[in-house]
Amino acid sequence: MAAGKVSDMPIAGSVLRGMRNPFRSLSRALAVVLLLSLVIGFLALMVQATLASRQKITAMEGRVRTLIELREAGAFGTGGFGGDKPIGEEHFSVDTLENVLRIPSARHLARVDEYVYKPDIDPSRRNAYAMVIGLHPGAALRAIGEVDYENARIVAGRSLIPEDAKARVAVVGRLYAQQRLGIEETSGAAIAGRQLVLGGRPFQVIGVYATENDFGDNHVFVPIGTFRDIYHPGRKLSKIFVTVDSVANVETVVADLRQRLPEADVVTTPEAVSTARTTLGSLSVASAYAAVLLFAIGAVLIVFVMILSTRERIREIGTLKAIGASNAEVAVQFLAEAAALSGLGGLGAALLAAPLARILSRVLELPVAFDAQAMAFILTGSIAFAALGSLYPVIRGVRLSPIEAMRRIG
Amino acid sequence: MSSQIVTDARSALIELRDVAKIYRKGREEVRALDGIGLAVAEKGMVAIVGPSGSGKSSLLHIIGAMDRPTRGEVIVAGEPLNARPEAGLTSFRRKTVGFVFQSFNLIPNLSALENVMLPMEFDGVAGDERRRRANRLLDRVGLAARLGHRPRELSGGEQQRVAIARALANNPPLILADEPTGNLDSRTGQMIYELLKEIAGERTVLVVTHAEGLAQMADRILHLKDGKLVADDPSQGLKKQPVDRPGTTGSA
Ligand SMILES: Nc1ncnc2c1ncn2[C@@H]1O[C@H](COP(=O)(O)OP(=O)(O)OP(=O)(O)O)[C@@H](O)[C@H]1O
Ligand SMILES: [Mg+2]
Repeated sequence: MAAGKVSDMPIAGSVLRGMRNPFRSLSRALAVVLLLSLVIGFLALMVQATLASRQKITAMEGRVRTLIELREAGAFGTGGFGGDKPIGEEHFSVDTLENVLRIPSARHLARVDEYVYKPDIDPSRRNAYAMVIGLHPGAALRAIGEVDYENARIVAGRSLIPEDAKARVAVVGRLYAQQRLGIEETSGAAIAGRQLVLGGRPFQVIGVYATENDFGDNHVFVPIGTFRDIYHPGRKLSKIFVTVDSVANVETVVADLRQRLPEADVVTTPEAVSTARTTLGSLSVASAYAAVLLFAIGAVLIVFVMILSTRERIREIGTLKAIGASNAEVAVQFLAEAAALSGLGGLGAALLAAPLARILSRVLELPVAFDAQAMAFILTGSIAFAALGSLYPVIRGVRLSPIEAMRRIG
Repeated sequence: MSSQIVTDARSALIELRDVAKIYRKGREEVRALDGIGLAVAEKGMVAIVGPSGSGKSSLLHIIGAMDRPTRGEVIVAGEPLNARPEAGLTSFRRKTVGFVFQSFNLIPNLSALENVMLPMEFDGVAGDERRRRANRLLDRVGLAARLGHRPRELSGGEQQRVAIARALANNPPLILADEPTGNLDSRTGQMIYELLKEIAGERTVLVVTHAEGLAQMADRILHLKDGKLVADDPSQGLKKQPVDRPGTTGSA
């Protein structure tokens, strides 16, 4: 027999026997594996959620702190809705943009995006007053007034891409889609072939986005080139967003901008982050607690099962020792059994966590990934449970003399 | 030394000198074995009889290195067991003795063949050789047709025959059987004894029994009472020793 070679090793025999043992009581093994799958699966997810929310806080802090908003001097907070100054007044214009690029600290500018707005008024609609925003495809879909962290999130279709530069395509807000286009259930199928009219021209709806509030969900984003073709805003711009390459350089850039651009208000947003930070922070703490709790549950579960199975088989331990098994061989057999159970639990956990990660990502709006890292957690979790759970009962059982072991009833 | 009857110890496989096993529980003290001196020759069947609680199992366990005596010396196959550390007792149990239990004690999820292969695995016998020897042993106890069966698929007598094959696996010079027919009907018990008797032709078999008729098949009968060896006869002696058996007939 070819397989004879591996099983020639005494330890290999014990390992194999141990791995067969969970199947003695199929129903119990099934129950334990199911429970373990749940515990380990959720554990991995919670750990991932903790990490994801921490990462997101860090990323967000960096992103927001390095973001500077430029708007026309004296315009009101949310960006001069509708306009203290009608389009055509060109104090805040393409020239401003060029000046931004020429500030002394220009090398610290990671990204500069210009936006131009125009209200889209239709008194015949319930939602009479929406906003059309032109921007370079690829720039963040920043709803008006949202300087901050939550960029619009695509919920159906797609966002604008560079190929759309001159195309008559639009990404609309959820509220706009509902109230102006009559799309109740947002989905890819619902927007397929839908059009809207801007400045008398038809636009293809390619995507729907959502923010946290209705106001932000009431815009139409179109490529800035198309916007200019239709509305002819001339050199006028509504806003410029400047992203600085690192937090350390923000002050220098702000100082330069303030000095060089008298026509603009320079707004930084360090405080915008604080609300989001609190929310994410408590999420991260909650998932960390959940992870600890789940870990404890998993460990107790395996300890309990292994105590049960060593107790049940204490006579068998006695028999094995009586017919010549060493303590090590008996211990290895039981450890292998625990490892087999936990391993199956880990497998179940992987099957469970993969789809749950997707759901959780949606619900928490966090990138709770199911990736190599999650798999590593599941693996470590299973091994930890096997080791933790079996060590005490196995050592206790194995140390009995064969006669003591055989005398114990059940 | 009170009630010890020691036979010639020169060619002995087993030798016990003043062996005692005392269990203490709080202030109470149970003398399970009390000053046992004994020598058992190589080959042959020895029955151990005596009332319940007289120390029969305790004696067997100490000879089989399943337990250590409280005092006294135990020498088996020329080796003093007292001197051996725990690991030494493991290898002793592996090579020198084969145990047969009243309740068979087979591993339930292993087949008959696998059960018999197990002690050889612990002894490091190669896989092919294990299989060949286990096959032969099961054939010898008349179970060639039941190799793949699990214990629960076998009758009590068949399970005990598997257990005997398992005890023989590493070809030990000594087989210890504690009431091997206690869970079997008398006809099946008789068959098991015949098998043990046959085995005793080539090695020493020590068997604890309550069944008088079966004890008669032994070459020698040891009588225990209250932890002491009270009589030691060649097999017909059961009749002439009125130890504690009201039903015994006649005298020599
Ligand atoms: N672990 C123990 N702790 C305390 N006392 C024990 C222990 N094991 C055995 N004894 C006592 O030692 C004495 C001898 O027990 P042993 O099992 O050797 O008797 P036995 O002759 O085999 O009896 P039976 O025929 O009922 O099997 C008994 O009085 C028993 O109660
Ligand atoms: Mg007994």
